[in-house]
Amino acid sequence: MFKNKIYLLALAVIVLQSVSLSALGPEHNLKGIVKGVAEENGKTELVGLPFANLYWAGTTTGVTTDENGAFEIHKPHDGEEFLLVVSYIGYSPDTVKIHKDLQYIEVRLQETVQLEEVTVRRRMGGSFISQIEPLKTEIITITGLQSLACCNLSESFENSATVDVGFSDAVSGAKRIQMLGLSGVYSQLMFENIPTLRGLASTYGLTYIPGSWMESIQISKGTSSVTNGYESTTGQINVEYKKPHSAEPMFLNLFTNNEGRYEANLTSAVKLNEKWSTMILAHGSYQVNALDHNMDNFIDMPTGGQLNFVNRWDYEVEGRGHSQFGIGYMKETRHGGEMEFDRDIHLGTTTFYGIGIETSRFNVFAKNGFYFKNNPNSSLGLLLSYTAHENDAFFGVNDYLGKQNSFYSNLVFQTALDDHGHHKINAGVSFMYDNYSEVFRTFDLSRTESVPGVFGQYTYSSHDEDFTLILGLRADQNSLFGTFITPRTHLKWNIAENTVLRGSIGRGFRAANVFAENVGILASSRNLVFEEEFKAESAWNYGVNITQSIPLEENRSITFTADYYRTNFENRVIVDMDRDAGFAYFYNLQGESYSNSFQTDVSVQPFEGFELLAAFRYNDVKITIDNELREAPFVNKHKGLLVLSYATRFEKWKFDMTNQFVGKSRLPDTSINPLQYQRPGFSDPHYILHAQITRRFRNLDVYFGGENLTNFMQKHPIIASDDPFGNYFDTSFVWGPILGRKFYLGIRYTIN
Amino acid sequence: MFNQKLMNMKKVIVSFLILILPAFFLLGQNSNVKEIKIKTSAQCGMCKEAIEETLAFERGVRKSVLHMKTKEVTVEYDQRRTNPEKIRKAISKIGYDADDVAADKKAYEKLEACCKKPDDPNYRPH
Repeated sequence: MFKNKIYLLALAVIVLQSVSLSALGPEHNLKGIVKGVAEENGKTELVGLPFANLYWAGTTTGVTTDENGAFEIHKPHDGEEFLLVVSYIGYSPDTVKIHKDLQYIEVRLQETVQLEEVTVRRRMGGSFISQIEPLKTEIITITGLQSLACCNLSESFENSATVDVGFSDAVSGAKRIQMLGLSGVYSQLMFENIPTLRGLASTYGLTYIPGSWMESIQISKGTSSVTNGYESTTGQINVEYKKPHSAEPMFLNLFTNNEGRYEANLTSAVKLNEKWSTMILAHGSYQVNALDHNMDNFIDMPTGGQLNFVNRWDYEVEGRGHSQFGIGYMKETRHGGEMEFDRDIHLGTTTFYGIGIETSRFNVFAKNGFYFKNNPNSSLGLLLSYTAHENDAFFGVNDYLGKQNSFYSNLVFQTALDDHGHHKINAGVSFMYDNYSEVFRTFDLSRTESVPGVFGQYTYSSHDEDFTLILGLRADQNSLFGTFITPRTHLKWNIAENTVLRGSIGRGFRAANVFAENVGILASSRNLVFEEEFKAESAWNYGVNITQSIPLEENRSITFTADYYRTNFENRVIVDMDRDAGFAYFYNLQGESYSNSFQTDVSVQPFEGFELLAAFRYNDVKITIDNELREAPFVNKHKGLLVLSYATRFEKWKFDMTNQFVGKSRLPDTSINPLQYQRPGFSDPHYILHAQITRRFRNLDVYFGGENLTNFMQKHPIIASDDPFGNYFDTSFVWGPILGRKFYLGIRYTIN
Repeated sequence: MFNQKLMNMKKVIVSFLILILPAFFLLGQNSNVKEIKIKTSAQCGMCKEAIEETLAFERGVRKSVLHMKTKEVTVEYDQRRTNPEKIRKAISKIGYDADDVAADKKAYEKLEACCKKPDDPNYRPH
């Protein structure tokens, strides 16, 4: 098969060259030979390298050498000098400067260290910082995902100091994330570069992405490229699912823990022929036991289950186009509240407080990429997605009904302005449509947004790719909030061989969904006061970071990173829980709100198989609440992280341990409550430990682990749990684990 | 209160032991370990890695090291749980000759060009 492809390629090259030869004459071709320098028994030998690869840097124009190492390649049209990249397995690749008048060259490649000494690392480390991406990008690999209980996306960030995860309230089981000390809604969640889990789905959405479906997660801080929209202010989290053309034919994951949670995941990929492949991803989970460890008579983790299914397809014609599309459906129920609550008897009464949340979600998506026959430097991409989301819930005697229909389309044209690819342009148009219908008690926050937009982005990369500058600008016309002008710029500079400096400045916008984003307030006695019409939220974000790596022997390295980001809000929807503990006031920011976030990470592989990640993060987040610039509530200033991982050869045994040190955070004022319903002004600093052991067999992994091994729990997370229909009931004061120590056991079975 | 704390302490210690315990199995030794050398058709570092990996997950195999110069893999195994014939078959199954046991044809076809035999027209060395 492979051989055929080579012949085809060679044939294509010959045809192409004979055409160009006749048209342009031989002086436009470069002939030459590629030779390898090999040390054999102390003597230096030169041998022609057959089937070595050559291409012009920044283009897709390339040829392979014949069996003797000889080649002939057509030179690019304009320019004085070109860069020819030559590579061959086992030899160090080389880039040679070619003058336009040069007719013949002999390229010599140096043999890399003898291959038998190179250990091929089948599985990469749990997470790493990309050296190539213009934006600093932290990548959580499948190995990283498998080192945690990791039932879903919300549990995937425990080994990262970049993203903080916590419960959003004490009753619904919903998780919220923070980046740069700001709520996760200011970052953009993407499913393979399509914005996802926006709006109403931001409440429970992180649990809709099962851990076993994911191939990797990429996290970048600061504003991201304008091609993806105006949302990502604090960062971007892109989730890659497993792909039909590369995933294993069958993968099965079963999981259970001692608290009565059962989970099954199945993925199966089939390659139908050269062009077509398809895949199913299925998930089912159920929390059976209703448990109350903290003795407040409220269920700690809601019972109920989730069914989740995706079917995706992949169609690729090499050199012409690539299309990926799919369909997904998810249904979830959650039951919580007081232990005695029985839906059939107590619903709508004030005998016992109950919570019921039913969510269904339907999604279709298509990602299409086209290449142009006569212009290999250009491509066209079209992303389409439609989502229908429905959330039907009750919190005590209060009902909530939220519906969202969203359509997303993005057409991106990409082209290189020169043959070397130093100057690239991305430009396109997008259209977004969101129809929200949201009613809680008597409050109706329904709205429709339709947003056409245009964008352009210029990328300059230097000859050696040591310097990259991205300038981007987009304009969107939001039917509710007016025009959004979003400029963004990114810079990457390799100041030394292993030192990368990056910077970014950009603006971001979004529309707030106060119910979905503050579900804890729905499960409270607070009276809601909407003081004014909301404006769009907007902010500027500035960041710098540096990555320094020090290579060690045997592919090991030490990587050090430090970054600082600042976010300045122009407008923000304030949820004021400080003015009066019996109320929640919603209004637009009057005054200042900002966040300063500093983080430093060190990752080391001191010896083969052992990895250590230590991180420290400091947040200074201020917000003007009730005309006073105060520390933002529920944001911890300090966080430390220590992740240790050891694997024996071929990962037969793997030991993972995560230590988190979480500092205190400010809590909203409760001083006007009766004494027993007051809370201290700050949360307790705490330490959390997770550990896991994995044993790998040929096709089977068995893993066993413990979460929150030190059994740290926030005491009394619910205010007035003894009087849920009274004036002081509040479930939103959550800053630490509600669940104690848990043990889990799981298997992963793979058929290759 | 104090009792409660003591109980918690105990729980922590027990849970740690449970987590660490499997590591001790690794340290177990016994005298039924034998050693054989098997000549293979490995060509490069990639083949070496593949053979050593498959043997690592073969029942009864303790350790295996393939020397590129001789193309011989030295295998330590527990003779109660496996035998040389099974080990040769395991190597053959992923596409390599093992002494007189020829490589499985289907698996051989799937090998990378650098791991094919030198007389195969598809073979390409590093």
